[in-house]
Amino acid sequence: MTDSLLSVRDLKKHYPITEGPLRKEVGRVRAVDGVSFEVERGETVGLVGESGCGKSTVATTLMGLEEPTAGRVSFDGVAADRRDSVDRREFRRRVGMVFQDPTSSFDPRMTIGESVAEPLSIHGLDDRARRREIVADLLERVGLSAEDAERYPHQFSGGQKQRAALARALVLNPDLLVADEPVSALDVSVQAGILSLLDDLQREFDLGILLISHDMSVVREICDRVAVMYLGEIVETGPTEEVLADPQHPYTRALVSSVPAPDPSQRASEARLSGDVPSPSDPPSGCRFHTRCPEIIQPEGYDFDQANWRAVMDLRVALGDSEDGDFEGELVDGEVRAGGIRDRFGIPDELGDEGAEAVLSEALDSLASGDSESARDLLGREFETVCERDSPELRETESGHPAACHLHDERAE
Amino acid sequence: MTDSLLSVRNFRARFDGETGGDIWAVDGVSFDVERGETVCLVGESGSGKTVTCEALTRLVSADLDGEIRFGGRNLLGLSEAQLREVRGAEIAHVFQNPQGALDPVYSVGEQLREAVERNRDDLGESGDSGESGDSGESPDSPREVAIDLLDQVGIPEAATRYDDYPHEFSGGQKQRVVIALALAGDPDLLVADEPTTALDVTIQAQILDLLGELQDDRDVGVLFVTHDLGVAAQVADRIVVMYAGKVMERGGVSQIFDSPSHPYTRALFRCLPGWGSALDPIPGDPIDPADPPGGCRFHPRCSAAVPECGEGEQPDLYDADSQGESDHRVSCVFYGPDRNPAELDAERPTTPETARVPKEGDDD
Repeated sequence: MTDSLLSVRDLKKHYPITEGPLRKEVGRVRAVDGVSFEVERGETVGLVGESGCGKSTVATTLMGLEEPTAGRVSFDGVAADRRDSVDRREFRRRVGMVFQDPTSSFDPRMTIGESVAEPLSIHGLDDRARRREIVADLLERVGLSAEDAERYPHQFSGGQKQRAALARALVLNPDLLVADEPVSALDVSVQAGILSLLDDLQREFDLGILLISHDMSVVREICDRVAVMYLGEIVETGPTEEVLADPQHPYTRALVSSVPAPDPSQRASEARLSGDVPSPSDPPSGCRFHTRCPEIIQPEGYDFDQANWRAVMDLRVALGDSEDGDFEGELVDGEVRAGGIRDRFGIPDELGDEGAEAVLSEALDSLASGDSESARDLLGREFETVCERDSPELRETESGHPAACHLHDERAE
Repeated sequence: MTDSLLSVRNFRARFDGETGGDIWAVDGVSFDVERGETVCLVGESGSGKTVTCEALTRLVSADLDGEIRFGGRNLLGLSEAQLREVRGAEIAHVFQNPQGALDPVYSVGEQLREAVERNRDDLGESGDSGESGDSGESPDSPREVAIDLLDQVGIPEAATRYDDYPHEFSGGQKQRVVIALALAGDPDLLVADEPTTALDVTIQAQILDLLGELQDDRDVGVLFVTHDLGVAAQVADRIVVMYAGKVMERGGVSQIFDSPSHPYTRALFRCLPGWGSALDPIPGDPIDPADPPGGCRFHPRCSAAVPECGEGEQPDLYDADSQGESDHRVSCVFYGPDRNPAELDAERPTTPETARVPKEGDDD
């Protein structure tokens, strides 16, 4: 078997949270927490997720712009050990990178030609005329003109600058291009130009591309395979068409359905994902998505309406999040009664399941009397779900591509 | 006939160009917004959509011309002092970047309370100055109103979050706070300029839902600016497509999406990623606003352009439906009296000669 162009194994990047003069470590932000994927030659792989899911950290860490906490990045079968400066230079020659903001990625005092040629001189091409020739050729390939080399960044539009950034990333004739949100700062009409350019360049240079994006429609447009990230972990991965047509993880489903369809007759009616991405410094237990998951598995022995179960879980998440005192202070304030709490979380006055209703009523009563701790414990004990208990593994699903979700457990067993 | 909530007629905005020339960022734009309705201004950067929005309450320093009728008067004729009473209380803005719209050194609650109090002062001055005797309904304290607003825009534990600073809120929550700020003055018109562009898709969906709910509850008119046709499809009742300071096409949301008529509108649809059809970027570069082309502003990049497209002024807004009077209007000669729109549908070379526009910086 031949080696993958890029292979990332169990990559982790944690940032320590320190305190006091001795900078004692009191916690860790688990920005990337065990991520594995491959990029083959001539293939575009999309890494997709919301802000804060760690996708950009994957890019900077695998590029060696930051030291990984653990894990292994190998390039063309060779471990990319970036402590050795010769290896590092070789790695950087073969991997180009494009960033989101084309304005801040150019030195305003250098002409575009100088910026694009800079990697050439760093890597030892001293022949000035030859450099000029290469730059002129590349600028034309990315849709600019050779004369543009003499102009300064401010004389270009955002889309043109992003084209120049692509030229610079390709000037050393790399095998892999890492593009971090290359079009999200651009207008749709300009995006289309850059995306088709990426496609053309890939074919021309047989490039592997790792595309990082929060936008499913961009991923759908140019990626062969996609990996969906949530809070530092990959929750689903597979061929783009397959993943988008038949998403196996509830998070992927939510991401796909949040893209606004350009069709007024298809106004979204699906349940929205509630809340924001939780902090990676204290990720939720079990499946990290369980605090927001609309399809969270119900506790054994109870039969909820799924929306009501989600609402009860929202209450539990809020109870777990609140620092002691905060939450009850607000709830008991004024005339808040158990009914007020139900209203706030959208829990109906009467749950369909009698047993569940009894537990909930009891918990709400303790809450209303100011004892949030026993409410939290009671709900946690009675309504425990596998989603918060066990962390699901990324494993094959019926659809043929892997996902990390307990919904697939029964089928696997 | 009842008046529209907002009625913009032949509106123009002029800036001084770097080299001394005039730049007409908006050049003769007309549209209406009714109560309870969402009108989307759609276009690329530089189309003049943001200038149009900000000019409503004169947040831009440009020479403005034309007519902006709102509440029975022309806003362009108001003094700065009069405008200050319009801002917030009658027309409120939600901007793209919530980070920039909040003051980092004041707590979110203080900023909201200030907006609530300011609005009360205005009411006090202009409204009930007489002693109405019964002060039975003691108004809620500004703090309570502020907390209530936070609650309405979906900030959980509003009372606890009141004293938090903007940096303690996530991007989506910040935008919720900005919306609460906009609602503090109980405006009749909400101007939302790319309110979700800086947010993740999942959060964008939440904010769009919120805006829709608030609109239903309060019956406000919404002028919504976006470059994303997907977003426009989700929120708009009517759409105005702008390019280079001119209206290219306008109509009801289903008219625009079912039968996009202007070549520019069609080109915008063809560059939407991820919806099946092959990407077809618009050829050429956006125009130089200091030296716009004659005729239709889009003709240098239009694959259907014929010689007459480059002559005279921007074409009139013709009826897109040849059968009769509709409010679906297109500024394109193919819809005029001398041509047949069917010609537009005929295959045309995709790289027209005219697509080459001189770039800025070319001297010859």
